[in-house]
Amino acid sequence: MSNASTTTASRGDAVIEVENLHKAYGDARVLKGIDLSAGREDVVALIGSSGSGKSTLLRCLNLLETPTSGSLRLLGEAIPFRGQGARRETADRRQLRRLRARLGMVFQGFNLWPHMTLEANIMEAPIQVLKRSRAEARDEAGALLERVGLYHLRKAYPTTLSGGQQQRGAIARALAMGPEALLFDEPTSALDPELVGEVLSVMRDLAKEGRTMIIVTHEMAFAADVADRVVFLDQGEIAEQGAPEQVFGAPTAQRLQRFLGSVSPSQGE
Amino acid sequence: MAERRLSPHRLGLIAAAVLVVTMMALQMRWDWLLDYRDAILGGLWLTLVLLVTTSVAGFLLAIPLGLVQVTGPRPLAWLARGFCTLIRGTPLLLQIWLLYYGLGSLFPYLPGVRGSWLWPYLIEAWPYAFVALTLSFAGYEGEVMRGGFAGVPKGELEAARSLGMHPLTILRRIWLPRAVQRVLPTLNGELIIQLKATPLVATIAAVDTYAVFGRIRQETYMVYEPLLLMALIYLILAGLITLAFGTLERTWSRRSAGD
Repeated sequence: MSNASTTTASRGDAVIEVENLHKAYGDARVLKGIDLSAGREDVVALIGSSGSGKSTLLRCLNLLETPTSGSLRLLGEAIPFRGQGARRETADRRQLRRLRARLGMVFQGFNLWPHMTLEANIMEAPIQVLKRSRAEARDEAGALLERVGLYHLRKAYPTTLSGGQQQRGAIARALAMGPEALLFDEPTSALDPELVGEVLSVMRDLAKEGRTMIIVTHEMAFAADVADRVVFLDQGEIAEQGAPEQVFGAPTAQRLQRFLGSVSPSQGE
Repeated sequence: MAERRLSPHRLGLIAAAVLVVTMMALQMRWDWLLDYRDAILGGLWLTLVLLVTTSVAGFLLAIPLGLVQVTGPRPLAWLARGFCTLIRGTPLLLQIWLLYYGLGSLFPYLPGVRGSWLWPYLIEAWPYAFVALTLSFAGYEGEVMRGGFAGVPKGELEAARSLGMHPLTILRRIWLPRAVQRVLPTLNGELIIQLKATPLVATIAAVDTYAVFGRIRQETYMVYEPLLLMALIYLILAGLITLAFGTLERTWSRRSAGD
């Protein structure tokens, strides 16, 4: 496993470790042997054109997709699988729920629950999963909403909010579980351009406070700015990875050069 | 709002209604009402009890019927689909008769049934009416709930899974409420259909609203008065259901108007 940034290695235990991961849907091979690891406080940006498999890879990391083969360690625990092909699944569902509770995920489509207020969205998992009291959960939700600048909208229903507000709410919902790592699946791709900045600035703050983050993104400027390591995926393989200066400044792989040439400079921020 | 309520065509309709009611009161015979007051109230009570209990019980059955068709496992999904197809594909009258005249006439011959605590109920008509109407509602609503469950955006469920929520918690807190929210307008119509299906129980000697008015017509030889009053009663019940659902939808569905 190549690890370009020396600082990453010194930060200790891997939070996420993937070895020779494959994912196929029938004959369509989406991921072809991915090796990836993220240590504590790492910020890893996954970039690549659409169809490169970067979202699928991210979704494999908390088992929203089950890898076809390969090994996966989350927070130091190996994930056991059983079954073959389309029926393959995690063997220990209780372990999976326990680990998922410690890995936050933020989706492209926000996915707030429309039948609950913003505050209730954030309180839900702490109450149901971590068995917090309502009062405790409400206090924590209030503090998180304050932090993402939505405290005044805590009683609003998600559909009345802008995309940027919904995404910041979704980040607060993930943070409410006190996660040890955060997975972002193209968090700004569904946003109007003028709303991208507010979401990126929340994410930038999270990166600064030393959160472990894996971010699938099209925002190259943002990736260059916050990531410790940039991983370029092409046709289901890691074509290049390294520090942002190296990946963006002196790309070696031809596929990466072509990709960087095709994406316009980011509008983010 | 006020102007819309009093628009010309509405005023016209109100005037027509007042005229019809006045004509009915003056021109027709209503003296029998006093004699049959208790019978009518009794029939109305059975209609309401049947409507409420069978739709609640039927809906509770419809939840798993709809859910397994979306989640599997396949054998259960086939069973549920088969049940819904069977119920929806045969007349309710036939189902009621099969239960009452078919099953009901078998029970006395089964050993042990006559002595059991169930026997006093098995010789009544209403338990068969209850079971038939419940299964019927379950069959139709099972199909409605299948659509409701399938229509909840996958991402909302993935978000819940990504937070480590237990599948049963997800069902109780996210999936079911969202599915019900989506099918509320359909349920309104289905409840009114269920209301209008209850008179079929009169054919197995359960004395509901319809049966009471049938008796009134036989005993008084009047044709229109009892029928008109019965129509009014069902119309009011249907109106109340729509009113209740309107309130529910306004307070509940409006929040997610965006999807």
